[in-house]
Amino acid sequence: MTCEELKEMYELYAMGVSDDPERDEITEHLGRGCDACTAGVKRAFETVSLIGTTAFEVAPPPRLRARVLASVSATDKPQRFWNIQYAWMGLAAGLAAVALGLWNKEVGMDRSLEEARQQIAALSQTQERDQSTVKRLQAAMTFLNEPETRLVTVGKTIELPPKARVFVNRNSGVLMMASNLPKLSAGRIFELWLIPKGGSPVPAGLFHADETGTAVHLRAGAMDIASTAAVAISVEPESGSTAPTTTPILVVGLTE
Amino acid sequence: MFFPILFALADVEVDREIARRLKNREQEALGSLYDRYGRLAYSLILRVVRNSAVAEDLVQETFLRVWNRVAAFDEEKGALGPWVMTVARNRAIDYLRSVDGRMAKSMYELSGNEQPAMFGDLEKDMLNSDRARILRTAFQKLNQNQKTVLELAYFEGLSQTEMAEKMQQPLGTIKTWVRSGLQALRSELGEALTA
Repeated sequence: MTCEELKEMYELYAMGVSDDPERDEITEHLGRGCDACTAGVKRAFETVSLIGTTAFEVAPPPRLRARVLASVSATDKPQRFWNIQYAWMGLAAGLAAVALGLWNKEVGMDRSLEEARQQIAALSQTQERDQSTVKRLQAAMTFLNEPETRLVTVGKTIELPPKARVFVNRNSGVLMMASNLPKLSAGRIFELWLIPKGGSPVPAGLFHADETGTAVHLRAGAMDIASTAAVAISVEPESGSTAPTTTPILVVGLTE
Repeated sequence: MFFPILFALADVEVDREIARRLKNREQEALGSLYDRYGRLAYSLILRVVRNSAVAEDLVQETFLRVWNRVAAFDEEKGALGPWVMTVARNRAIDYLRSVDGRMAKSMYELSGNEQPAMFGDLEKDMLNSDRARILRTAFQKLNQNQKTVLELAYFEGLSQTEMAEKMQQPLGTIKTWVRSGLQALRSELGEALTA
């Protein structure tokens, strides 16, 4: 087909909705560097982008910005990890120096040193939590980047919280990203379950949600996807359970 | 109500700087990108999927995708806004197709039309408020059939064949509506360019 015949289809092509044979023809023209079609399709991208602005304006929820930023933070975590580590180490060293200085003074040195020790202990705990979070997110990103990882289902039919996305990988396990999880009372924890076809639920790890009800949990290790019917989340005692003791708050079927 | 944010879209230098910072893997730059296009992307996606929870997920995927692919984006030539919008629309259309099974039917890969290189050499002021306003005005001038088919194409990702099936109209009729509608938009935008 000639460029003249194709030019009416540039916008549909840019929208990804053109039919064959025009779609293949335009692709072929672009592939061989056709100037007319290249310019026409780029112009079509402009028009198509402008059509998108005819949608009515709706303000996204304020929490979405934080979600977006959090979704990429894990990819650059190594640098932040070391920054955090060095920052805490520096702060801890500084506090230690202060404590040592106080040690050499005779007035109030015991109390000051004890306070410094308590602060160092508290900072160490915070550092451990940060490192744990970093490692968890790094593991999640590694899982997502593996070529065999695929999305099998979405909690799209659920209009109300909670909901989850579950990724499975026969070599690396299952990754669950949940949101809108309920707040738990003290001594309770979320537990992930793999539900075999015709079998009893198998524990797949314990996890907490953050203050927004969002959680990311990876059950690492090979899994038999074909024999797994669903993934479920239930609320359990903090030590975990070998079988669900409450009705699952979410069940995601592994339908493809 | 339409997008006042479009007034900001013309600020090419800001976009260029954001793109540079994104390529340097500065996470704060993603916040800047979201501040400029998050509302636009959310509104567009919500218009397509009509479910706020799903829209949130897809906005997150949109910005993650931009973050992961920005290395191929040429900030000197490329138009960041249209690229973000295309990625956002594609995520939403992919979702619609996965829900109603159209993915298996057509297997039409949208991702090919969001390669960063496709957004090079676009006019830097293409999304300025004048152009956007002209298109919106032109869009409102279309007759109902023209408007419907273009909305089905853009917001639902339907091909002309699928539109004919959905609207129970002959394919030729659909093609006429699409062609005349696009011609009207091109004409208005073209006149604006030469004015």
